[in-house]
This record gives sequence, C-alpha cells and structure tokens, in this order.
Amino acid sequence: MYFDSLQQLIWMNGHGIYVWSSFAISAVVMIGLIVKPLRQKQVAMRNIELQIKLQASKQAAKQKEVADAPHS
Amino acid sequence: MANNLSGGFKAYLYRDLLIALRDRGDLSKPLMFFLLVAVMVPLAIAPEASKLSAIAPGLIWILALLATLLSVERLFSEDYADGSLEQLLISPNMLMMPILGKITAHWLVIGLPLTLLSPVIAIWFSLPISAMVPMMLSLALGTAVLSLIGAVGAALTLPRQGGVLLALLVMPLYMPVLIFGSATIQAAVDGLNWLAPLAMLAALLAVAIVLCPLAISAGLRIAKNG
Amino acid sequence: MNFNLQWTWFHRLGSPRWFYQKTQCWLPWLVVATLALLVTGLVWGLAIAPPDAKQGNSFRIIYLHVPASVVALAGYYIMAISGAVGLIWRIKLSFMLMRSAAPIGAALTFIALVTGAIWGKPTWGAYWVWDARITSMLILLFLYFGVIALRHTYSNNEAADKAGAVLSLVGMVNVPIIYKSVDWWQTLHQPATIKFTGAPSMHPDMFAPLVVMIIGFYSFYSLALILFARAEILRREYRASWVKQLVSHQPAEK
Repeated sequence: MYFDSLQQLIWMNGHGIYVWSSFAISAVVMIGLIVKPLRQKQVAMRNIELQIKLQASKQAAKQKEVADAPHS
Repeated sequence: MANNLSGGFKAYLYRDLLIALRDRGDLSKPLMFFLLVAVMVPLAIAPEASKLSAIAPGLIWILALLATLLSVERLFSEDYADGSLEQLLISPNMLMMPILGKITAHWLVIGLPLTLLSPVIAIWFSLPISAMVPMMLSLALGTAVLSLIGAVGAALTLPRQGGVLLALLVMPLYMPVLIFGSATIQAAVDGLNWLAPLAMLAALLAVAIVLCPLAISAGLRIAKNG
Repeated sequence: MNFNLQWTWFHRLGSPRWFYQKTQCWLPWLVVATLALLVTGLVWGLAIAPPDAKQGNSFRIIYLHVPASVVALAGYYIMAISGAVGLIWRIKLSFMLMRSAAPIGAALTFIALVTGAIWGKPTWGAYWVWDARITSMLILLFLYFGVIALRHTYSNNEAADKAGAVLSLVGMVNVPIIYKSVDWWQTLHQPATIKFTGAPSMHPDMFAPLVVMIIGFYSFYSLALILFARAEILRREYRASWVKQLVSHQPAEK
C-alpha cells in the first residue's frame, strides 16, 4: 500500500478530487453500458411475450369461430 | 453501349454542368455565403489588419469548407427525386465514371469559383501577397477533396436529407484537409516551405479519387434498394 | 466434402441463435474475469503503485484514461470490420455486432475525453489543451456519433446496416489519416509535445497495473458488446421459433 491510511487514499495530497471524480464518471458510464443492454433485453422479451399472447388469443378466437359456425 | 471507360465520365460531366448553368441561383448561393460570412468576420472580431491577417489562413479555409458543405447536399438529391439515379445505377458504364463526372462538375461549379474568389477575401483579411498563389493552389486541390468526401456523405444520407446529419458525418473526415490546407497558407505567410503541406493535399486528393467513388456507389445502391 | 464442412462451420458462426446460446454459457465467466481484472488493476493502480515524480497522485488517472482510449480506438476498428464482414459475407450477426459496438465505443471515447480533461487541470492548469491525442479522440467521438445517427436515416434494418458499414469503413480509413494530420498540426504549433504516456519510460511498478487495466477494459468491452448484441438479437429475431420458445419458457421475467 502506498498510502498509510484511508484518509490519505482519498485526499491523495490534494489530487484526490481529480482522481476520484474521474473514477466516479467512468464508473457511472461503464455501469450504464451494462445496465442499458440488460434493460433492452427485458423490454424485448416482454414485447415478444405480449406478441405470443396476442397470437394465442387470435388463434383461440379463430378456433371458436370455426366451432360455432353451423356445419354445412 | 459505351465501351470506353471515359464515356460515362464526359456524359455526366456535361449533363451536370448544363443543369448547374441553367439554374444560376443554385450556383451563386454558396459563393454568396462565402463572401457574406467573410464580411462578418471583421465586424465580429476586429478591423485591425494585424488581427485579421493572423487568423486569415485558417479562416479562409473554414469559410471555403462551410460553403462547400452547404453545396454538396444537392449533388444527388435531384437525381434521387426524379428517378435519374436509377438510370445511373443500371447503366452499362462503370459506376465510378459517372460519379467522378458529377463530382468534377460540382467542383467546376463550386470549388473553382471559390478558389478564384479567394484573392478578394485574402485582400479583405490583409493576407500578404506572397501567400496568394499557395492559397489558391491549396483551395483548388482541397475543395476537390471536399467535393469527393462530401459526395460520400450526400450518398449515405439520401433517404433523409436536410438537417445537420450530412455535416456531422462529413466534418470529421474534412479535418485533415482543413489542417493541411490552412497549413499551406500559414507556411507561405511565415516564409516556410509550403510545398510540403500542399503535397499532402495532393496525396489526399489521389486517395480520395480512388476510394470515395467506391463508398459513393455503395451508398447510392443502398439508397435505391432501401 | 471438406469444403462443405468448412462453410457449415462458418455459417453456423453467423447464426444469431448459436451466438445467443453460446454466450449464455460464457457470460458468467466473462463477468468474473472482467470484475477480477478491473478490481485488481484499480486497487493496484490507485492504492499500491507509487505516484509519478512530477505529476504526483493525479497521474493515477492514467489507469482509466489510457485503457479507455485504447479500447475506444480498437472498438472503432471492431465496428468497421464487423461491418465489412457483414457486407462481404452477408452475415446478419456481424451487422448486429457492428450496431452494438457503436454506443459502447462512443461511451468509452467520452470517458477518455473527460478523464483526459480532468487530468489536464492539475498537470497543466487547464481543463482543455489542444494536444494531438485529445483532439484525435474528440474527432473519433464525432465519427462514432455519425455512425449512430446514420442508423435513424433508414427505415429498414438491412439498408441501415449496410449504410452504417460503409460509413464505418470510410471512417476506419480516415482514422490513421486524422491521427497523423492532427499529430503533424500539433508539432507545428507546440514545440514541446507533452506525452501522456511514455510507456517504455514508465517504471514497471506503474506500468504493470496499466497493462492489467487495459486487458480489463478489453474484457469489459467484450462483455458489453455481447450484452448489447443479445438484446439486438432478441429485438430482430422476434419472429423466430427459437426466440418464442425461449420467451415462453421464462414467463416469470419482470
């Protein structure tokens, strides 16, 4: 360890604010780069689920029609 | 069926020149812009010759760049709208030749007049006479590169024209031209060797003539099929 | 016979379904590797390595700035090459990777620019100095923005992909030209070029964590690329039966 205490690590001889703000901004952006695609995937999955349900209900309706129609 | 390589080149060169000359309004707009903004500069900065001549090399080049950027959007748009682009794409000529013909016409109509007008601006900005010829050479070569690169942007943004997208695409690619163009003028002002940056401009032009038509024809095909 | 087998392998590589299923297995390992590398590199660089003689502790920003720059630039090439592969062999997956690479590269370029600017303040007293490296990074950012913006010009995916690939390739040819010309422009105006990293002249105690961080950033890039690509695959292949099966087997998605 180059620094003797946690406080020294944060203060870094006056340069701490520069180093830690760089770290913070980088962390925010990089976490964003992970969160964003995960959210996109969730949204995509939800949309596909909805689509499947929609299709299923359409099919059910069609089958009902065929069953209800009088047989010629 | 045109057997010669140059068939498409000359045909489209003459065609575009004719179209441009018929509509002189379109021709003069970028040149008017060039002159007008040049007038704004002393009004905004200072009328002192010393201040103006210090920034003149870069400023002349930026004005030329912006004026060319304004004019490049219309390179393919009319042909795209009225269907002649399809004709271009199915013609038996090599696609490179008609494209180079159109761009040459564009340069003759925009880049060359800009180059010829530049001494006026140079005098307005108190640029020393020794820098005049290097300036005009740099503009002549440089605006040709700008036309070529601008045409790439124009081809890629055909489906949705207008707006700043073309500028956004093309500006980063323009920067080396800007660097070497203004460096040529600055070197001439400082009494240094201005042939070196000018040679770089010539090299850029050579590379652009070879590579840009490839990208342009790809872009035109995508626009037609998309 | 052999020829057929080779092409099957190659085209299977281009199948989005194969990619999605394979990456499902690789992802946890990639996450572990990325975290391990980044944490190790950061702790080493921020807390353990000695400070620079001239710059003091602010030089530690190098452990973020340089890896971000390196991977941002490499990312542009990855994007352009994915575009080229998609154009030449018409592999959809390649285009999806290209699309995913754009925002990641832009974000990393942004990190490089911001950390570079913050580093400049204690070092030279100014947040922005037009030196060759930072100016080239800024131009790279605009190149990325161009590729991202172009996608919205085209309404159908296929055309958007191809146009994006063409633009990325044009940019790729230009990147070395831009770097060289900005570098040359810089030497015209500033006799003393300030180097952010004199890599050979760096003490090994300071250089080693930098290498770890660079590898860590590459690992992170791969992770982000795979995540974005998986989302893109689901978005585009929503009609495929394997996707429907996948979704209906997981009805408990929030």
